[in-house]
Amino acid sequence: MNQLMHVSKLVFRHDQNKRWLKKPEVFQLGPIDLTVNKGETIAIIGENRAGKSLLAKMLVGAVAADEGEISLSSVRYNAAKRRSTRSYNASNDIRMIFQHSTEAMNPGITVGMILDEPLRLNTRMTEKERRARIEETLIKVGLLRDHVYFYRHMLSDGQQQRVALARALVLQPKILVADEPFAALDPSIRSQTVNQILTLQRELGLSFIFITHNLGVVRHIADKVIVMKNGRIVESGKTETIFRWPQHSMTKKLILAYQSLVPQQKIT
Amino acid sequence: MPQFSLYEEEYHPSPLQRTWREFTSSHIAVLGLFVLAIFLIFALFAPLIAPFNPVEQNIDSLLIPPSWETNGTIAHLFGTDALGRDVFSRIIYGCRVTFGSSILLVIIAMLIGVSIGTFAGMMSGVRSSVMNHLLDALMAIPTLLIAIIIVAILGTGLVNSMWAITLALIPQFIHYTRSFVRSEMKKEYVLASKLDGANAWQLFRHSILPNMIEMLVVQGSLALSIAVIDVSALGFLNLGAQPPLPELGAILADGLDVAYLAPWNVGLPGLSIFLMVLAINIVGDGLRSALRKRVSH
Repeated sequence: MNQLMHVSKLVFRHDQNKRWLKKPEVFQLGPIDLTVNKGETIAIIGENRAGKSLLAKMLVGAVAADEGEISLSSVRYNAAKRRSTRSYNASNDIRMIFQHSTEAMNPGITVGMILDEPLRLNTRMTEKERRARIEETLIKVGLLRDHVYFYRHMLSDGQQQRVALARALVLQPKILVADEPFAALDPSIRSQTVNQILTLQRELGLSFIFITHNLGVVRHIADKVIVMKNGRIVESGKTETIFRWPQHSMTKKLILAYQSLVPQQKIT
Repeated sequence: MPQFSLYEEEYHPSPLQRTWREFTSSHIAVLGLFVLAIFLIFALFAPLIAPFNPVEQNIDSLLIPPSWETNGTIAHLFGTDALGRDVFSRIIYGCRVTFGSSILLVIIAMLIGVSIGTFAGMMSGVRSSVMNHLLDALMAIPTLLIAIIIVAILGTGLVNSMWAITLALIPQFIHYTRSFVRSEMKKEYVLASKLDGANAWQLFRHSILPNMIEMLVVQGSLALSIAVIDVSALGFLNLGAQPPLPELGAILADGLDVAYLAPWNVGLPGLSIFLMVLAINIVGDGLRSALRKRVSH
């Protein structure tokens, strides 16, 4: 397998000691090392406030790290010295799906304009080419060409999720980072979306990093699992290994909680 | 992949058409728009519509009552004033001066206020605060007082009173724009655009402005009605437009001298100011609910 992205010693410190009359809140994320191979699915699990969303935002460059290095498709970036998100993200190889697809869609403009924006800003395509790409992407995620004219309020939650997916895919990235993409969806839409992503992954050879609380989905689609606690990776490895032989107490708890819902399986 | 090849919908109403459809569903709003359109036509085509020269005095026909009175004539639809000037023509030209100058000054105030407010909203820290409170001192002083000060320095006149009102309107626009841009900047779709590499201008133009239109319409219509009232109030107090210039407030002040003899000289200009402000508010309200419905259901 060829390595697509490598993260080494990524650290983020959150210190708000400027506030009076309040204990300085110390939160440190990392150091985190992570390797992403081509076509691989990685799940990040862990309790709330473990820094999962922050890690995702740091991976796509929405939040600047304090220390560390990211190399993406054999270009190295100093994660700490990054001034703007643009310089890092210029290759368009990594894209993010946000936690709430509803809030990530602008209510004032049409789906077409939402999808046009990344193309307009990052490619030199003409208007016709952009339009063709948008329609192609919409069909790829299971929407219709007509949805170009739709506004946010006309779409259901599942369709909004698909638009979010389309927005990420429109630049044809190599890695997709998703922050709880399945949280707000009902089981049938969730499985539709999961299958959608699996199909796209097969077709396009995408790597997919996602955060979730749903261990069923993890077991179903993830190749590797990362367990986080208090800003640290406490355990990581192949999905089957983690599910069968969890080492860390945190992982054991999570797996047990999941397996108590699925009684026929036991830790061997 | 959809297994059916569906025909594309042939017709997609544009945002403007959608807004118009929502707007026309409210009958009162359409009525208000109709009245406002009449005033706008008066303002634009005053020389074509007015039957007489508004400043031409006629000694032969002083204080002729309106045409619906028994001794009125149809030549002077709304009668004449104490100097024999045709009241109807004066009101038409008055709409031009009052309404036209109000629209102009609201547009200027909006452009300045929104741009300063946007800068303040996108910056942070002390700079943002300084920008935000730049013209706050003006908010504490009523428009009339600012006008009196400006008039004391520069002399009376319509243009000076317009400056005073513009200055008084700008801080509100700054405040509303800033708080709107602030709340908008925190939303995830703005972050998404930022990640796509949008700079501040692109962010404003493509992500924030489309959502700001509703706020602009509400504040704009509010500011327009305030401007109409203030322009005519300053005219009435002889601080704004000076007497030969037909301005609705000034016409009202002129008519006050003969109010008991010829009440139409006061009543009709007053009525037109009232109708103008009412129509502006009704249309603004209708437009706001239409714009809101467009993005909600």
